[in-house]
Amino acid sequence: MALNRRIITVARGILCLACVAVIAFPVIWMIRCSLIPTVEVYKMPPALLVKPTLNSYVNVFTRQNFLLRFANSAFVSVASAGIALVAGSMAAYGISRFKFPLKDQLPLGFLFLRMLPGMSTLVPVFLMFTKLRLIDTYPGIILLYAAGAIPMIVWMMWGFYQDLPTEVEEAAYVDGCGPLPAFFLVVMPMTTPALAALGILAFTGAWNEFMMATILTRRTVMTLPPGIRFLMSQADLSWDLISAGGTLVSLPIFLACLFAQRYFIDGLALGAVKG
Amino acid sequence: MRIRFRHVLAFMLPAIAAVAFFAIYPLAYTGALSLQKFNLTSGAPAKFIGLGNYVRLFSDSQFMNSLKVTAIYTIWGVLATMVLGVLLALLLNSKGKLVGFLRAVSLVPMLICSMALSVAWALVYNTNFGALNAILQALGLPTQNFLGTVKTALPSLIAIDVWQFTPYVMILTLAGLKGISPELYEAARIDGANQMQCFWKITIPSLRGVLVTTLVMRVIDTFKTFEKPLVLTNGGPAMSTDTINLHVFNTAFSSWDMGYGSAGSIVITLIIALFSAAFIRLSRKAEN
Repeated sequence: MALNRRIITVARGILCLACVAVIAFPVIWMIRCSLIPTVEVYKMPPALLVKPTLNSYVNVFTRQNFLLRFANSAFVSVASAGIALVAGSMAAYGISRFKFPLKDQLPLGFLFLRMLPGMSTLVPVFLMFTKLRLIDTYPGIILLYAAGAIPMIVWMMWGFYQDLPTEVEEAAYVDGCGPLPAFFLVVMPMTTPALAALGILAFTGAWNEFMMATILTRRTVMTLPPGIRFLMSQADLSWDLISAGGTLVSLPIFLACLFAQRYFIDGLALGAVKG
Repeated sequence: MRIRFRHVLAFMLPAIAAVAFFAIYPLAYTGALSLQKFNLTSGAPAKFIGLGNYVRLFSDSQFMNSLKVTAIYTIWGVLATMVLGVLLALLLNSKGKLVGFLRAVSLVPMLICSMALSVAWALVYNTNFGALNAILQALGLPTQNFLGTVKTALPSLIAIDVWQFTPYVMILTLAGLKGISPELYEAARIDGANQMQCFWKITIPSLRGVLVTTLVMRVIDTFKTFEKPLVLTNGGPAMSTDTINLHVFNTAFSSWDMGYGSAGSIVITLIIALFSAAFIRLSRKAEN
């Protein structure tokens, strides 16, 4: 019996490691291709030990504008996540605390909006952006991403506020605090863990977004995902540069998987991560 | 403290205005465009043609092909990830450190940018210098043009989906398994139930809620597949990987046929809305 249990534990360990290997392999291979000289990428069979070089990274940063793309991605993702957090949690709070017409239908409405695929709105958004001269501008893409993240935040925070006791806010009201200061100074600080989790999810969504960005951004505001696509469309296709781009866009996600695992797993169950 | 209308307005307005301007209005606009003949390359003004675009859609063999491709992709992708993911979760359901590590690694494929994973898989599948062909060659097997033939392109893309989302199903199933009270199993064992009976009478029924909602989420995500075929095959060869999202995107933004593209967008929206309604109903049922 004890021996049997040992065998099961060992078998389970081997299965675990095999899964890790299969999951990690394509990503590790891409990182490898970004760290070796160009000629080595095209070698068949590939050499297992190659002297690493940062050439491809130097190249994408100096010749392919990736410094700007990286900064754009970071700025657009942080700004849109921040706006969505403030606007979304305010609305969620309003729905859970105030009485007004149609308030009971609103959460479900937001949930439906969250499910809406990008293609449902991309054509008119493109026409609107063209008319309003928002193509390739920061406000355009930032507000669009914020609007995309708001439904998820409203939906999640609404559930959260309903379970939050009202005593503290009521005490603030008694002290003469208005609803807006009470919300920002008293309620929001109490919900920082939930806001952090949703902020990370909103950031990830904007950071990874490709379909809208490829249509609505050009030279100035272009983020990393369409930047990588742009590398691939060039005549002298060079896979070491493309791999470097792919690795760069993955870096924050690797960090998030290591340090913010729990948030993602909670979010997954609620369908908060878009595929 | 009396809450007045202006307070309600202050709280609700930013979010409502944002989704009204960037989601609800454009959605209505898509609906309106879908009833018009409007091509940006022709320069002609938009013209109302009623349901003309929809009639054209359903007699358009390329559009019907994209529906078929998406259906095949969705069915096989969802089936394989569900079966494999649940199986792995059942086999790995333990508290070990290794499982925790696997869980962290599992998050990577579903969270990294679709552009990055398309690049990674392009390097795995490449005919001339791809990692998979290197392995085949080392084993003395013939190399393959994975993404270049009608027979292998779609299965190769589905394989990426399996790689990407089996861990997703596994993580959610593991979370579901953790929620089953061990007392249930103890009680059953005292009553003389064997392991198979425990599995079918306790494990599976307890997981039903998780499995059903995961399944619908997977269908929705797979149905929206866009970046992988765009980058890896651009719908080819011979349109064998032309998913509906990619097809409609190209109708709008390569042929610049805004009216016809919008009709396609509405079809996508309706199908997703149907699945979403199913998801919402089922996840509510699971909660009760």
